[in-house]
Amino acid sequence: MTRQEKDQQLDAAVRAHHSGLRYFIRSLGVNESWVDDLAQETFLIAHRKWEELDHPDNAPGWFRMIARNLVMNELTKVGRRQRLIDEKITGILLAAEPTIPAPGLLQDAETRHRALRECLNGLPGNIRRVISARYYDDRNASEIGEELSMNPASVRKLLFHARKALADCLVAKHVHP
Amino acid sequence: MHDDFDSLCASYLDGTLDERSRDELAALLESDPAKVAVLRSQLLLSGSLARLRPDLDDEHFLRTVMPHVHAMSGEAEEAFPSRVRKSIRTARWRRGALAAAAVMALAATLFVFHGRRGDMIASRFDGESPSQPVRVGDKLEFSQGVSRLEFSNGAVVAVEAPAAMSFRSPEEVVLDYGRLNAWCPETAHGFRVITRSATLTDLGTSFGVSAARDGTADFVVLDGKVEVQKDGETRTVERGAALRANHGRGLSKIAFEPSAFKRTWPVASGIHSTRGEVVPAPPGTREALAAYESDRHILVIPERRDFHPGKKIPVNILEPGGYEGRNLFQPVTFSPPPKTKVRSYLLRYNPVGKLEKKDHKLIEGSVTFDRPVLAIIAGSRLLHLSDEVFSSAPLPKMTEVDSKLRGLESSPNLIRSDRVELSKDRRMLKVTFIAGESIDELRAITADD
Repeated sequence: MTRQEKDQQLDAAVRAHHSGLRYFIRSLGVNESWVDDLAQETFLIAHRKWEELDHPDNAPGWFRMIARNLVMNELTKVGRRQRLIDEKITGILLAAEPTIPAPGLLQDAETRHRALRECLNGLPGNIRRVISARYYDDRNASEIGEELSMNPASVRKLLFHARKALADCLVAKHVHP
Repeated sequence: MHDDFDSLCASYLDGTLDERSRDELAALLESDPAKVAVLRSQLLLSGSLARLRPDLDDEHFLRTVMPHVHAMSGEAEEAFPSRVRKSIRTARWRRGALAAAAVMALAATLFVFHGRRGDMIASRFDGESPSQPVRVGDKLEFSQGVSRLEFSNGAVVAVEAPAAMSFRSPEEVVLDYGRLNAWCPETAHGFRVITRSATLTDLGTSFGVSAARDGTADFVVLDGKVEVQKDGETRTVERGAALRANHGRGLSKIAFEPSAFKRTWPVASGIHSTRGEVVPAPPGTREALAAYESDRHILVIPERRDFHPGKKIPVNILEPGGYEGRNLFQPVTFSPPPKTKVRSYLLRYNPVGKLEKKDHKLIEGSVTFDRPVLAIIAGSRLLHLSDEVFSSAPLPKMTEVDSKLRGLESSPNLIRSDRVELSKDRRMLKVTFIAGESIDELRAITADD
């Protein structure tokens, strides 16, 4: 394989599978702020070892395997920060996570985003405000609670139930959360 | 007392789980695979919600990563990956305990590509205060007035308080909320402004962005064109048009209404301040600027910028001092210094309709520019001659009489004549116009480097 062919194949694979890979990494309990770093590192390793991939069709599972190994490596490092990756919880999630992507995880990101927006619009205004503060303004529960005169624990609970409601809504639309 | 699973899960997602609670959550997960599925679902939803933000969306990720995947093909097998890994490790170390903040993290990721965290990328000017450095990774809150930011790539951005902005590189800023006006020379084309709902990319232009805290953002193009991207939808917006981006909705055209930028636009245009009856022209396209009329004010109208005239220009004033009567019209030659870029402004009194003949009106005031004035043209003939070089817009339709009376005057019939005074530091221009039946104007040429 020439270098150009290799680059073209990797390019296509990254474009097709980066979204699912980032979801996968997040599902292992990796902090949101670290997901893209790990995805990027995964692609760098994939580039280096591209010849080891038997067929580009198998790239999604292969990317996941690389990402999974990266996460496991992080678990063994001394002095890692718990806020980025939690050894215990991520260990459990890793053990339970299948390497082969579920069919739903390969859904078009735009379809998923559109469905999520529709589901969001179906939530009451006060819940949307809390979600907006958490995910668009990067505020934690204490800051949101202070702003909206709510107990931080209530904010966390509200977010938990909102995510559950959104997941149910997506499932009803046949979209993988 | 044991917390219930939902609460533990919620705290884990919030990043506030203590060690005891973490052990409790782990025990619950180990004992029940269904709970693992719930947690995974929560994590996936959390990721999906985060990625609705344009600065974390798929398009942005690809735009950031792909150029470097391509770049690897041109390097030795190990060179790029090891460099990037090293950078990532440094980024992680720098993020420290604040890593939970997505914006911070993204900035740290991006420094791999655009510049190192801490590198100075712009100077911030607030009123008369000395300039302050702006660095990669800075997040600034603007609490009062209008600040001017001059980027190392030549972009000039005026920000009106209240506003909050993060700085990722000389080419990319995040406007959390607030209003800004930007002008980008050729060296800054591709400059991006990221809001919560959409991303603007400059394609050679002057534009305004207004971002509300609820995520709504308006993009107004005063000159040139920009590209606005939201959730995979990309639209090109040209001069005299505007677009709105809402959370959860697409992009929609809105009426072109630049008046919201009346405080930022002059600052982005190099007008530091004005006094008296001299005021900055309202923001608008070059055609709108050319047509503005006012009975009460001398308007300061920005013209061409960021260019070298390429030839000597006949002007009337080159040195600081006061000028009136014949002194105002002495022809002298302005030789633009090599490699020095200039810009120009018209100071124009353009009455609505016509004043009655022989009816004269005294109007005066001053303008201070952010760059020194190099030359001034006050006579009608020289104004006409220099239009070709400096004007960026058609002048208002003039009668033959108008065109002869366009410049300033020194008629012996007037008790006072037009007067111009350039301060010693060359930044303040004080004018007195004895305005008659026609337009009175002068052209000020400033440095633009």
